Amino acid sequence: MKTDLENDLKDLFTEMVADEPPLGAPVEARSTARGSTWTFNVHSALRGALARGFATAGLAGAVAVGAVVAPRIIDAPPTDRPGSLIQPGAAPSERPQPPSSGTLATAPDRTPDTTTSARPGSSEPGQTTTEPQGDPTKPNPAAGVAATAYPSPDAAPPPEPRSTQPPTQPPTQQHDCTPKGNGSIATSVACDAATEAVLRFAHGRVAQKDAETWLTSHAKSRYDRNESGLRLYAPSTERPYASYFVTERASEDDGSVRFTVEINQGYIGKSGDRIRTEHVYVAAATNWRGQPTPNTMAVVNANLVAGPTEP
Amino acid sequence: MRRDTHGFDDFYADQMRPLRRLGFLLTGDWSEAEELAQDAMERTYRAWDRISEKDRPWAYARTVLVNRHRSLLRRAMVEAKHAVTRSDTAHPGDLSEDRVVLWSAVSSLSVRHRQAVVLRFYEDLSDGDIAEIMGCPVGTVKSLIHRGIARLRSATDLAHLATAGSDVA
Repeated sequence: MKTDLENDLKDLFTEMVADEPPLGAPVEARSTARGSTWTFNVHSALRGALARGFATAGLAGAVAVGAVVAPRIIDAPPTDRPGSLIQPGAAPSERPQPPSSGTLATAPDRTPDTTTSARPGSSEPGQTTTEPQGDPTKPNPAAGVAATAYPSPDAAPPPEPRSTQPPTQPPTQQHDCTPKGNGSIATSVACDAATEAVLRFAHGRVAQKDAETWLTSHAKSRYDRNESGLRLYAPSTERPYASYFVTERASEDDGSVRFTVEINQGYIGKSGDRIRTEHVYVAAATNWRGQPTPNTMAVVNANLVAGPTEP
Repeated sequence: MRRDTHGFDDFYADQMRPLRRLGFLLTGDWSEAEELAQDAMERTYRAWDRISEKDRPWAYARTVLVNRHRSLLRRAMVEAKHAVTRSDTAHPGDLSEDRVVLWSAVSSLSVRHRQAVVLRFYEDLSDGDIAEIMGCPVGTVKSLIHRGIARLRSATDLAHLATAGSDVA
């Protein structure tokens, strides 16, 4: 026999979740990390990342599983993860011009889609989903990287010719750091070598054709043994996707910059929802010259950072 | 990375929103709830190959969510972030006064008490299921729920007394 209070609780909980926002809806976020305050619309996932404060200190206790560094610029790799370098080889010869102006941070371009889908077996037929829709197998210049699905290893080869470079040769093409669709970059973050390395890696993951060539043999070995926490491929039977966000966390001092790259990867389910299966953060910092500072760039699998104890 | 995802898509479609609602009732913040639910789904996906019907994927996902919630709060406390206070200030504007008082009381519960109360009175789970999800004995669950309800009753009674007192004055 339930008491009045228990019945009230039940009613309260039901009432509280009645105003449930659609999945993936942008939320207003405010970050005060490192004393810098800015307000912007950001996807909830990124907002969560910001709320948790991906400061270097926070990463110190993290289980680092890989590194994204520019060896020619960074003297020492992270001490806890020796050797797991991704070699850009051809260091960027010139820094792209920072964006001229604009807001400090940009919202990830995830246009809500209010497609109504009746999910078979769902407890809520006809519910509204907001995840981006569309055919990911078709290039979508407007949507950019995040809408560019890369084929599975078993899938037919992409129409464009694959690079004929040997695996140890990094791509020599200067990376384009301009924002691409869902891959948003904070407008105030100069696209320096570190950013470029991260973005090139992210793009490589998306395109499934260059990322591995960025790995040293040691890192490749770690990846192959599934020790890196990085998985470049989505399930072979599903439509994969990958997206990234680059966001400035806060300026350090005298123009130095800290930023976080968040890479989400997963597949697009039958109902069109983006089902995230990988969640990787890259924390990095640059000095006032825009050069990455040692030991601050690390790919960290979010699942290994203060993660739950699995049953 | 190859993985047999047979059935996971349906599981996701069925459980994503319930998990997010559970996350909201634990955190009071929809964006954090979505992140918790995504994390729970991600973990479940990783373990999908070895999860069978016997293992009850829904219970597995809730276990991950509850543990994740606890660890995030622990870290938030270490970082001196006031996640609970900040998050739980939000509530629908059309709540009645009694509901606001009750929600505030729920927000003031300890993490374990709140988890047990939400799992019982929102998810309608049995003591055994809650014990499995929270990773504690059934007796502990009973105690958590009993004490949680007692604290809620005490808090709401105090609020009503205060209201009555102010009316008299």
